[in-house]
Amino acid sequence: MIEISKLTKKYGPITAVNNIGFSVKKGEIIGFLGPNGAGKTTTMKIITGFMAPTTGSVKVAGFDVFENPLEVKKRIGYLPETPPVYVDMLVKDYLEYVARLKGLKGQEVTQGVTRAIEKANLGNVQNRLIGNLSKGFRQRVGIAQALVHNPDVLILDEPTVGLDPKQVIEIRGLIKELAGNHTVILSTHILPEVTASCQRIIIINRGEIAAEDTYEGLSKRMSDVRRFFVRVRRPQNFENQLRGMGGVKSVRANRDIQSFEVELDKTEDSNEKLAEAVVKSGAGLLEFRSMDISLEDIFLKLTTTDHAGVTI
Amino acid sequence: MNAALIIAKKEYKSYFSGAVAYVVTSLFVFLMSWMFFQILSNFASRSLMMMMQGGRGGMSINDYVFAPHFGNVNVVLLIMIPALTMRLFAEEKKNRTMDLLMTSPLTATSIVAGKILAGCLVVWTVLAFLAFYPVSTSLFAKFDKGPVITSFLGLGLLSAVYVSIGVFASSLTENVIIAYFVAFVIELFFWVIGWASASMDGPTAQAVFNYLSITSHFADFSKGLIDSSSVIYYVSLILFFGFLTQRVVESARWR
Repeated sequence: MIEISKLTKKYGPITAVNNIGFSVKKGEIIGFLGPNGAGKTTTMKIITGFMAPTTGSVKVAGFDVFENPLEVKKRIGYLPETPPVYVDMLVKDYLEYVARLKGLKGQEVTQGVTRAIEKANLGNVQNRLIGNLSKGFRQRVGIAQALVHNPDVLILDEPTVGLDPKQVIEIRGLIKELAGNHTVILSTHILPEVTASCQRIIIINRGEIAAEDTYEGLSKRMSDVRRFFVRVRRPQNFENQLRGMGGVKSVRANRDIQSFEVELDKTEDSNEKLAEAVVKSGAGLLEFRSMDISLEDIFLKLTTTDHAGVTI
Repeated sequence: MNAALIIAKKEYKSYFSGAVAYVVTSLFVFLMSWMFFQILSNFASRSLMMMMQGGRGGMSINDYVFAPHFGNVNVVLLIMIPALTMRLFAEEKKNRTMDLLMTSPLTATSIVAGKILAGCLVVWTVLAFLAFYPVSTSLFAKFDKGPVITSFLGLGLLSAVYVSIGVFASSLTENVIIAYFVAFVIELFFWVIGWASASMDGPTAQAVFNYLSITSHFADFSKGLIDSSSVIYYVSLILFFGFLTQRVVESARWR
């Protein structure tokens, strides 16, 4: 559905996006992950045809964004970082206006607006002035605006910013629901967001793709080690004891002095051996549990590496 | 073209959904009424004096009332129109709603055409209130309707030129004050550009500067003339600034 190749965007001397390329299949949900200023928004703006790249090409549904911008724009729904709403319009009037701008006519307009209002759960505020709505509601109007013409591709730049936790769950549910019929690219720097709704994750850092895989794939790739959390009653000298145990790669004492994070080699019985050794050490085991390598870890590991490849 | 109408309709409505159109219209009409009344009563006392001195009361209302009146309207429009048009692009940029227009299946041309059309419609709505003066004057005095009608035509075209300049200025910035001032200065420059003809030596140069002046063309209309060269002049200014705006809007993609 979306083909991006060798995309580079320079703002004067600053390279915002450097030679990135990926493709998205129809019906997929892609999470675009990266720290602030990584080039997420720039890439999204280029896909929507808002901005031209310095070099490279983008194709949406077979149409090149620069040769056929109107065909591409008909097929894309875009929610920018700031929802593009007019504060002096009623929610319903605004959505009607957007529907007409996107090329809907007559009956399609009312249908599109009704569907968007329903999906973004705006029924109660549809006759209110957008200027009087809270940030969360405005964000939902922004989402409704992206959905109103039932586009093949949805590009959502940080869709859940400013929403309360209940609304966040609703929107994530909505995004999941959209998969299949729509292709979705959403950007975020909130990690649980991608785990919650995306099938594939693209981590972008300093304008380059740092990793591209499913969540499972990424965590598998990172998990050549196991990590355990150990808390004991008598921690004196326990750290050194831990270091001496078989299979232990590294030990980090937590601030409470009582607990430690232990990284183990990934062999079949390494956890078993560690458990046994800890119990035998007589330090008084209080807690022993396996720690998942989280997306945060993957993210930090991938995005805090400088250009020489050295982990900071 | 359809897209231009959608944008024009939305912009036109938004002038009237807030206070802008009402404030501008009512204050404009108040100001013009006061000025018109002063001109009219001045004219009345002067023509009475002429009659008492044995003249035949032959002073023309067209020349002594409507011509200066439309001149005043022209000056006020010069100041008022940039205020009406300054938000058309600047506000979209400031509120990031430009993103919506730029990612919708619209050409830059239809966006600009829609904005200019909206501005013209608002100004023409305000101008329509000015029909009150000639209509009410015609109830108790005889005058030539032709020049009044052509003056309205001229004002309509002239205000479209101002709108086009205003929309162009608005597209350059996201600051409405800058948009206002740039538009005002460009308009004023086209007013005074004709002054240069006085200091020119050659007759060709004089003619060129005279032709470029907005005011010299308006003078034709207020005399009751529809000179095709004046119409072409106004229309080409509208298209010229429309074209510049289209380039500015389009160029946003390449920055």
